[in-house]
Amino acid sequence: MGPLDRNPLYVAGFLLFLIVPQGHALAQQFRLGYRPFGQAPQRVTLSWDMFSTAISRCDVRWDPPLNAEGRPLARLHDSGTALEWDPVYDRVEDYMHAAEYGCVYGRPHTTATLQCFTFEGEAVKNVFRCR
Amino acid sequence: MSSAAAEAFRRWVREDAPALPIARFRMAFGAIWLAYDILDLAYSGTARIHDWIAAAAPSGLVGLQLGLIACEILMVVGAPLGLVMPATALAAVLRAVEWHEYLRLNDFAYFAVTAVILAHARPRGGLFRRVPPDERIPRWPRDVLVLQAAWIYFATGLMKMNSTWLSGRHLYVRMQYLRTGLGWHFPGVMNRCADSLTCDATLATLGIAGELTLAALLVFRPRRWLVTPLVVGIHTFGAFATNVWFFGPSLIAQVFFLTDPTFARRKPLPRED
Repeated sequence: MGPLDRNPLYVAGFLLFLIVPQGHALAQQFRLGYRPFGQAPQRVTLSWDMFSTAISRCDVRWDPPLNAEGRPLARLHDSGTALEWDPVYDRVEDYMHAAEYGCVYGRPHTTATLQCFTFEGEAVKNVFRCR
Repeated sequence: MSSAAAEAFRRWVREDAPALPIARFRMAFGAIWLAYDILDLAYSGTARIHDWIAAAAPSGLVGLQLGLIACEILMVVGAPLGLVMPATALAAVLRAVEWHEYLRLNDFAYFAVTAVILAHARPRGGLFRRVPPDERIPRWPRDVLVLQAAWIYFATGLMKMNSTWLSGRHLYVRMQYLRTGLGWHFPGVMNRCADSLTCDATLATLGIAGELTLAALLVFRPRRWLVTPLVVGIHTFGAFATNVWFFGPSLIAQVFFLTDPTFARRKPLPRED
């Protein structure tokens, strides 16, 4: 970086470059309805909303397994790894779309099963036959 | 800005700090994300999350990952010095592109922000070259990295102060999914806790308390012996409850190395008259 990192004007500008987008992201959360002890935040870049949004998760399975570009896929999770890289969505509707999309790669009469846990604290099971 | 504040700011910009802890953090940060990117590339991790049905990773993503790996190797090795800082800045840009084009992860945003600050720190030394013991570099990038970590913990603690998180339902969803979808076997007490919204709510409240306390300590009393157990506790629990394994170690390294006791011994600057 050379002498620039000793230049107060440069450092002040750099700090603004960090502060403005992060401050704006936090303000955006309040504009979108987040309130302490009230509504959950939404996904806003640089607002550091990790693990704070309302999410649902589903375990999606197909029986018999899909033939996904040559790979057998019995569960949505099988396309990821055991740790860290797991394909997930935040809404049950998105999991439904994924299950239906997977049916394109299924055999006739493939059954899709979704075991969902919702942010309302409920466990919901959904089974349908691919068309 | 008043002249006294402006003078204090100018003095802060001119102030030096020991290079060794910052060099160690740069190596640790580079090594953690180097492991991430090698595994990500090898197992098509991000690629499969981006498009879970596709057989091959997009060539653009592979290019970004190879670029990140090259930059992270330079950060770990720490040489040649003339290339390390541009490589660190480039890593921030490549990660931001990966975030924008392929996967909008908070982890990637954190990496980009941290790397762009780290690119302003210029300690010599790395894996195969010792940092000269008396070397000093500008202090402000270290202070900004500590304050940035404090802001992340404050903001995420504040965002978690909502009815869904406080009710324990967010943790409930995550832990039930890990057990059912991924077949995880938690120890008995954690299993029972995962089934109890009351227990999940208690853990959720403790999580917020831990994050806000850590944020306050990093700003007002950044002592290693105080902050290290807290940051390790937060991220160890976080890894097992949320299946996130690289973000935590990166922040643990940031908090641990940048609260080195040598930073507390500030060297007075001569007056600029």
